[in-house]
Amino acid sequence: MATDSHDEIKNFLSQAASGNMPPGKQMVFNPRTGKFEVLSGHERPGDTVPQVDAQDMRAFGRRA
Amino acid sequence: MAWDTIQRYRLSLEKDVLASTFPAFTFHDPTGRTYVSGQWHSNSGKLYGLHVQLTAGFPDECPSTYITMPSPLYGYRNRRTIASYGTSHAMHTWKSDRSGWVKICTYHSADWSADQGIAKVIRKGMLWILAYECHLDDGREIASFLMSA
Repeated sequence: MATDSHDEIKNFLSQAASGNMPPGKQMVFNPRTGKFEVLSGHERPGDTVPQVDAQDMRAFGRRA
Repeated sequence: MAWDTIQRYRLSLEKDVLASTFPAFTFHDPTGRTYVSGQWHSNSGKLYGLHVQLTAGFPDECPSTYITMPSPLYGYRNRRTIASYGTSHAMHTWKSDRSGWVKICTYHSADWSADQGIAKVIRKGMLWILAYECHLDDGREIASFLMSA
């Protein structure tokens, strides 16, 4: 089930930052609500919802 | 700022993309120091201001991105401002050149190309805000919530 709760987002980001994208989950930005959501594996974000992938987050990772 | 023909065409495309993806963000001063700004209610419901300042080399140069509101932006337990970290890998910030604003890292210059766009910069700014709110919970650095290369 899609959730936009802070705790779920935090868990997702924390796991991804440690180098392990959470299995069976994906994070998307929902343009309808204007919030980020964590989806479980069986849910489809739809064609218009951009998924937050490793590349998105890795771009922050280089030393400033 | 005098944009050339190709840049004006690119900015027109960017404006269309922005209108469809982040309608709360708008272009300002299109013939001068062009920037994009808007406000976002984060997942926790707090209101933030984002400012994306284009540079003369756009789109070959990455825009500068700032958190403009709240100002000042305080860190964990209000112990210090985020701006006071200056250029910090741990907090994914640059030393700010705008008083009261936090300059955040979106793309390293080596990772930026003209294939990227302003909408993606805004989305990255929002991700930084999510990571910042996680930092407020327990004081862990913002890098704890964003992947390292």
